[in-house]
Amino acid sequence: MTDTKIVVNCETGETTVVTLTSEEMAQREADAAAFAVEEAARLAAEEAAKAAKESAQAKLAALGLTADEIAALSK
Amino acid sequence: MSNMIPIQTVTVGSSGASRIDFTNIPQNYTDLRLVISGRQNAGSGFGYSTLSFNNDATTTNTTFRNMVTEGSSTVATYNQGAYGTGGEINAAGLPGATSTFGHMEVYIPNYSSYNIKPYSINSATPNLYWWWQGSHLYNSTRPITAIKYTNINYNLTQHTTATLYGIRKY
Repeated sequence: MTDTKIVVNCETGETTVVTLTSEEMAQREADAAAFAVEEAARLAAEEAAKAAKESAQAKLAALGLTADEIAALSK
Repeated sequence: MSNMIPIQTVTVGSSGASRIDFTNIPQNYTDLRLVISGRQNAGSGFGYSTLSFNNDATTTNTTFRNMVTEGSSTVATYNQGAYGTGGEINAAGLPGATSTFGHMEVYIPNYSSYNIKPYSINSATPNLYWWWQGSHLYNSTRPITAIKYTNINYNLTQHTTATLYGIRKY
């Protein structure tokens, strides 16, 4: 990672490139780690919902519903 | 009649950057608009980012709902959660370095008021045909004097630009 930030002082127009402090780097890493956990959970929930939907559709098909009839149920 | 006036523009150099801070934002406009055109070193994928105000580290000071769509389908929703501390995962769908530039826009009405502040974020991630829309609330009565845009898992690459505009309605 390029651990720098660009700081723009809107009052003076001065722009500086500053290396992140160790605290800022730690914060960024913590944010990334927290996000990775949340993202993994979101993707897992999404996958589970997809699997449940496919299972339900298969069971409906086994009962004799056509693909159009099954699709109509979710509209 | 309203006028949109560029306050400052910054362009990322060849070394890249993980964060852009706008500080000492003047208080003599009605609204603020932040426009970012850029991409990240995320290969063919994309990266996420956080946005925070006034160096505010209070997580409960930001609430949000984001929806990501691809055509008419919802790809994902990013709602209030543990997406970062003192910020939020917002509209950070800037594309990877091998893609065309994406864009992100943040509009903050009445940024200098002493009320809590709703604001909106929209962005496009062209490599995935994703469109991010977010409705956000900054639960603070402090006027916004600083904006911090942080890329949490990748870096902004060269030629990324960020412009902060002030809107005058009168």
